[in-house]
Parts: sequence; structure tokens; C-alpha cells
Amino acid sequence: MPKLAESITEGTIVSWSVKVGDSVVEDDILFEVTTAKVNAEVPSPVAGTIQKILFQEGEIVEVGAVVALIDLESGEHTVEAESAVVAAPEPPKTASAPKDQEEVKWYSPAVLHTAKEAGIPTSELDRLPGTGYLGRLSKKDVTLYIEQKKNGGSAPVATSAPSKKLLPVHPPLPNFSTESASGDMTIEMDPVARIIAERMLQSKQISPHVTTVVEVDVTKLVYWRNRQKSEFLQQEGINLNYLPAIVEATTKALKEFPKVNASVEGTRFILKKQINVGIAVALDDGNLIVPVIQNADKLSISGLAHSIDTLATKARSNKLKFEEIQGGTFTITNFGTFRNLFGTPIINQPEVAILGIGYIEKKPSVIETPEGDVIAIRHKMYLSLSYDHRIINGAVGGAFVKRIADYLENWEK
Amino acid sequence: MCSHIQQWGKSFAKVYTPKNMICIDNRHTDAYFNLAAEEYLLDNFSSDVFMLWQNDSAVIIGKNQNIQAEVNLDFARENKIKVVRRHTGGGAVYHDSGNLNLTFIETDDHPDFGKYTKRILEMLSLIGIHAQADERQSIYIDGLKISGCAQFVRKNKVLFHATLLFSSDLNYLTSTLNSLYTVPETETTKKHYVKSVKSPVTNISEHLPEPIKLNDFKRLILNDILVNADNSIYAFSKEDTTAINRLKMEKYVTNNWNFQA
Repeated sequence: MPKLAESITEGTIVSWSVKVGDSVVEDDILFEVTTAKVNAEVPSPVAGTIQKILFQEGEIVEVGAVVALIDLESGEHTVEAESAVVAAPEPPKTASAPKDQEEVKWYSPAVLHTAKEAGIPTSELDRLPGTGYLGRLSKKDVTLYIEQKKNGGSAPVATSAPSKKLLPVHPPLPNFSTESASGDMTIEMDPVARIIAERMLQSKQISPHVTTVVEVDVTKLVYWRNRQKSEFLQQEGINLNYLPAIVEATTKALKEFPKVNASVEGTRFILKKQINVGIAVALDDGNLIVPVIQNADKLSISGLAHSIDTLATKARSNKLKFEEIQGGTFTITNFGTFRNLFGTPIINQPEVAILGIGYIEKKPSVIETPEGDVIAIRHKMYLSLSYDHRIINGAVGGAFVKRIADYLENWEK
Repeated sequence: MCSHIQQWGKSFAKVYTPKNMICIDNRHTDAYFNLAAEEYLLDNFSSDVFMLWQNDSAVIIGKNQNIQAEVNLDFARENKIKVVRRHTGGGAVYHDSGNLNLTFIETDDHPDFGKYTKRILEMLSLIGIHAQADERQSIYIDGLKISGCAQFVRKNKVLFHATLLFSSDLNYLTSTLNSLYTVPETETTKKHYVKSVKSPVTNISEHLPEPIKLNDFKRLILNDILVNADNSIYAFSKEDTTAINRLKMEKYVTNNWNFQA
């Protein structure tokens, strides 16, 4: 494998132009090789017959490696074209640390990029043994390391974060030294708890959170449910609760406010076409999972009710499939279950907003009538929306959650 | 040639002076034709070549990329944006009349791509732009990307080309390159695909100390290169154009080439 240019230490073989038994003359193209930026056709340095091909298409090959054997008339010849001719570039030295004589290790852009994507700092790379050209770290080394790291004790992914981003399973969670008194109990986080802890922390670091709350008069919704619930149970076989109605109101509002159904990627806003609503579910082991109703805007009330029921049951029995926790574009968390009124939920990355559902309770309320104001007993609920202030400003966030409230207040079915 | 160009040229010429380079101010704006022209020049010219060129709206993807994963094909179709595969490596880029492309073709046994990047940085300094390059030879102004490059190597021939976002439509750029498709793992194990590295971008025109038109910038670059008396201007002959058109029809317009899996 020839050195294609300065700073290139490895490449992927894209295709072979020859096969075993072919005879070649000098300068015939043997194979095509690619790096992140360079595409190259490698010619044969000699004439002869291809005797053996040692690397298949798709394999990563280090500079200097023997890739094929060519049978010359006089005997065997290994193809490792001018690899020795080119000296390796001098690794840059640290300017700021004169007492540290150790040279800064050199990494190829491909290695740095792979590491960066997986969230591996250079300091961690420095500790890895390299098997590449001159003992350097190759992309294969890093990929292998990431794989091992990923598989080491990781449970199925716990939240609906994007699968593309590989997160370290053992994140360096910040430590505060705690004074432990006798009788304190120490609990080691299980892998899922670790992931949750890491994701929560990340989300707070990534998104500037703002929370806004509206009070909703859900009396009509409550009456609707009371009218429907026995028939619904008979026909559908499951209980009718308020969540399907809230999901429906939310998807309608999401359609009107595309910036709430979105992601922020660097300096870009990505407005999502699909509306996939995640529902946070508390598990018996104290952990949390967010199954996702795909295309929630396309489902009827009974469709939503079934979908939520199935996902929640699967979640609690640990039977969710990977695709059932993937692709969420917005999340709803229902702390009303615990008779809580409102809260400041943490956004489920890479989404940009999360809706918290409060407990529905009866309250004295002022109702305006043509005959004057009266105090009546109404069913009230708070909706709390946490949103990412990078993409959603107060006007949009406020109008969005008010729109959900309006749908619910005027609920007619 | 006006005097200030002369003056700039002097500072530039000492950095890098290849011998007997032909300079082509290619006015064709058909992406298929232009990519065919690059290959034709690489295969048929023994002298070193420098070419300035622009395309009408097009996405140009790298040799070993998955077209679906790189390009929002629906958006491209709706907006009549050509999608063309090139013969160099690297990722997908968006071209339009606000983007300038530079191609260097040289004979070099030990190519050093960094020198071309340095050269482009010098060209940018002609118009008062102070930009930085990273290890991928991409060029940035204040952390925002204005230029990407890719290379092709065959034997001792090197082709280096780069884009310069001068006044491109960045909304089109972002939308065209925003594919929602991910290559399934069953496919990636069969074939190696190069995935584009996305970066936030900016236009050079937004950072100019004094406004200048893209055409004037082109003229400055050419004049500067021609300060070296060994370099000469070259225009495609009729035979060149015929041969390039043939290559275009045989390769660069075909679905076989552009949509190869």
C-alpha cells in the first residue's frame, strides 16, 4: 500500500481491477483506494501474474502493508510500493509544556473524526495502543475500541436519543466529594441509570431550558371521558384516560408550530416532517424510558389509546423493541399521575421541547356569563412546557402551549 | 492590468511558482461537462493545469459516497439541481453561480495537498480575507467553512480541487445536502461509503473589507498566476470540447455513474 500523500496513513480498498491469475504490466491499475478525501488508483510497480490478493474490497489497509503478491518470472514479489521512500511527518511538539518531553501523538483526520463523533477525547486516544503505520492509531483501532466500549456492560439504549451518536457508556459524571456519615448507603448506578444521568446532564448543558405554564379548564374533557369510558372499555378493551386527548391536541399544535417539532444541529434548525411523540414511562426499577408513538398525528383517539397502552405495557415488561424508542420529535411526561401540579421537565435530546401534564383537580373558578360573573366548580389542570430557547422564543413557546390548552378547553367529540 | 494587481501578484508569486502551468478560465457552467473536463485534462495534458470554473446549481458528491445518504433527492429534483458524482474523494458539496471552483492538476511523486490550500489562502488574501485551514484542508473564516477540497491520485498525477463559497444560496445548500436517509448496516458492510462531514458555512462576500464581484475576484486570481511568465492562458480547442462532451455523455450524465450503489 503506497503512501498517497503526506499525512495519509491508511486507506480503504474500494475495488480491485485485477483478480488472481491476471497478468499485469508495470503501471497497470491494480486497485482503487479511498480515504476521507482522496480517491486514488494504484498502479502495479512490476510486471507479472497476480498470485494472491490479501485484502478484500472494503478493508482498511495501512500504508506499507502488503496487499497482494505478484509472481514475477524470477519468483515472487510483494506489492508494497514506495512505502519506505516517504518519511513520516514529524509529529508536532507541545509548545506550552516544556517540562513534558513526551511528544504529542499524531492522529489522522479520520481517527480524530471518528473519536470526536464517539465523544472520545484526545487524552483517551493517547492511551490506546496503535497497530497502524509506525505504531500509529488507525481508524480500525479506534472503531474497535468504540465497539468494545459500547458493548461493555451496556443495556439496550434507555431513551430515544439518536442512535448515530455513540455516547460513552461510562461517562465521566462530575464528582462532588461527599462526606459520608456512618449508616449512609452507597448504590452503584446500573448501566441504564448511568445513561439516564449522562443524558440529563447533557441536555441541560446543550439546551438553554425555559419553562412556561398554563392553566387549562378541562371540564369538557372530563365530562367527555366520563361519557365515553364504559363504552370505550367495552369496545376497545382498554381504559380511556386523558393522555390520548392530550397527545392529539399536542400533535395539532405541533403542526402549527413546526419549530417546536425540531432539532438544533450546530447552527441549523432541522424542522421535522414526522410527528413522533414520546411518552415518558417510569419503570418499577426506578428507571425511566420514553417509548415513541410514531406518526402520532395520523392516529385517532382510539388508535392513540391503543398505542400508548401497548407501549406502556411493553415498557414495564422490558419488551420494547429498539425502533419503539427511536425517532421521537417531542416528548410528553405525565407527572399528574403522582398528583403533581406543574414542573420543569428536562428536554429529551435531540428534541427541543417537552410537555409536562399536571394533575386534574376541581377548583372554584370565575366564569363569565351574560348575566355576570359566577363562581363555579371546574376541573383544572396545568400544562408545563420546557423548551430550548435557542430555537423557540417566548412568544412561540407560550403560544404553542396555549394552543394545546385551547384545544383541550374546547374539547368536543 | 492595473497597478494594484501587479503589486499583489508579486507577494503571491514568491510563495509558489510552478513551471509551465496552463491556466483555463472555463466559462462552461454545466456540471456534467466540467467534471468531464477535469478528467479529460488529467488524462490528456502533460503540463500542469490550473482551472477556474463554476457550475449552475448542482450537488457534487464524492467518488465513494452513497447518493441517497448525501443528497435530499426530492429537493434537488424539485429545484432542478443536478446531482453529479465526481472522480475525487471527499464529501458532498453544493455548487451554484455564487460558488467558485479551482482545480490544480500536477505531476508529483510525493503530493502534498497542503501547498494547494496555502495557495488558496494566498488568493483569498488578495481580497483582504484572512482565513484558516484545518487538517482536512478545509478553509474557514471565524470557524465557518468557506471551502472544501478533494483529491485524486493516479500514478504520479495529482488532481486537487476546491470550492469557494463566495455568494452562494446557503439555504439551498443546506436543504439539498440534508438527506434524511441513512445507509442501512446491511449495505455498509457490503461496501465502503465515505460520509460527508457537515460544517456550518458562510459566504466570503459577507466578510469582505471592501465589496468585490466574484468575476473581479476571478480576474485577480488569473492575473496573479499569469504574473509568472512561464504560465500561460489556455482555452479549450474544438477538439477538446468534442472529447469532453463525449466523456460527459459516456460517463458523467449517466445514472450508471451518478447513482451507482
